[in-house]
Amino acid sequence: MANDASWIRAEPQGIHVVPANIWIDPSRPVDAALVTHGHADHARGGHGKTIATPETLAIMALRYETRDGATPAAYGETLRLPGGVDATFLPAGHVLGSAQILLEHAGERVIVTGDYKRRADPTCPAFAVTPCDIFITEATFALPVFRHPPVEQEIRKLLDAQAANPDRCVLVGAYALGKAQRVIAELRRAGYHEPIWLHGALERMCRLYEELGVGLGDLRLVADAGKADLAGQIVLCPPGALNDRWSRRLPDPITAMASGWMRVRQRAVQRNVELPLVISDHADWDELTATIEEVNPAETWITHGRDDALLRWCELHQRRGRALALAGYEDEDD
Amino acid sequence: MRHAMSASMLYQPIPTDLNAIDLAEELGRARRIFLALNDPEDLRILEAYIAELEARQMRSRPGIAAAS
Repeated sequence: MANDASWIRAEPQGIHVVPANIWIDPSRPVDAALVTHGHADHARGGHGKTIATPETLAIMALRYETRDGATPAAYGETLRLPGGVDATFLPAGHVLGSAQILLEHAGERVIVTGDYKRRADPTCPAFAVTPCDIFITEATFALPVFRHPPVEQEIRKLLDAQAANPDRCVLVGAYALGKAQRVIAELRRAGYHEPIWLHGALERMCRLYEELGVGLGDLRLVADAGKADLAGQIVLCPPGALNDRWSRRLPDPITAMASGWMRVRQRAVQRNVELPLVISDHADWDELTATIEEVNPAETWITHGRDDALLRWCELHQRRGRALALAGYEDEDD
Repeated sequence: MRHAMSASMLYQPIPTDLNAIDLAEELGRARRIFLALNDPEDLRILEAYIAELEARQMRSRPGIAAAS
């Protein structure tokens, strides 16, 4: 089959599904959007109609305080769009509610992954490998150097630091949607059932996760504690709060950060991170390349990230690839 | 020692159980990808990784290991 896919176009503001006149993760308000997940660089407010999983719509409602035009699509449910396009949302394993979008038109199957990972995550269903003709993938960590270690190993580092420092607290910078809840859930899975303390900016998203069925255990607000209460405790905050005045209320914090970028010392140093935790919600190099091999598409398109490297890998493996270089997708905090 | 400075850019050392063949294959893979990169930070990061692999390879050679 020829894969010119003239019905799918990469434009500066997103991926346009031409026959349906609908956009995927558009960076500007449009009449109709399919949204892969709730991170702000993919899910923006102001669209006339937003089609996404119920969890992503709930996250968007929390962030943008509106549900106008929200159209839920459950995993596995196929929606008939205008122009003879079918859309099916499939788990992407990135954060709660995250989805790949399978588009079918004129006998051709295209998958847009959004962001994804292949590792088990107690807060969301696992990525579903689905055959297609064109696989439109992210490439945030597409360098061979990025092999994320087992999450259990990183959680153990965190727990060891906490146990070894009863007079200090461990302050973990974690992205407010997804990473914070995953770190909490992984701590619980590792048997840590003490209270976990939150910066106020994380509270609403954690509560929403719990409302949506993801148990996170005993969570408390730093604002409700005295400095002495936090000695020997684990505290989570958004990355931006790691070094601001807020953290001065904590007892001699050990500054940690949970991010795939913690593989790179310079990134840790920039944030004064003492305990780098390589925990990512994106596929690493092995996951990206293995996924392309498993999906086995006729063509791979790369939306954002380290596209030069993944494109080169495609060439070396006799696979057709194309870099879309879409703007506006951020990866600073993962 | 072209990469001596950049090797310290990375946390999480490469697995110690990589055998000589795996190490050589990984080094070859990394070098082939390196040639395609344009972004300066990506270049620095992968250069540091290649330096790690090269250093590991040097250490794993019997003569070098015995002398060090």
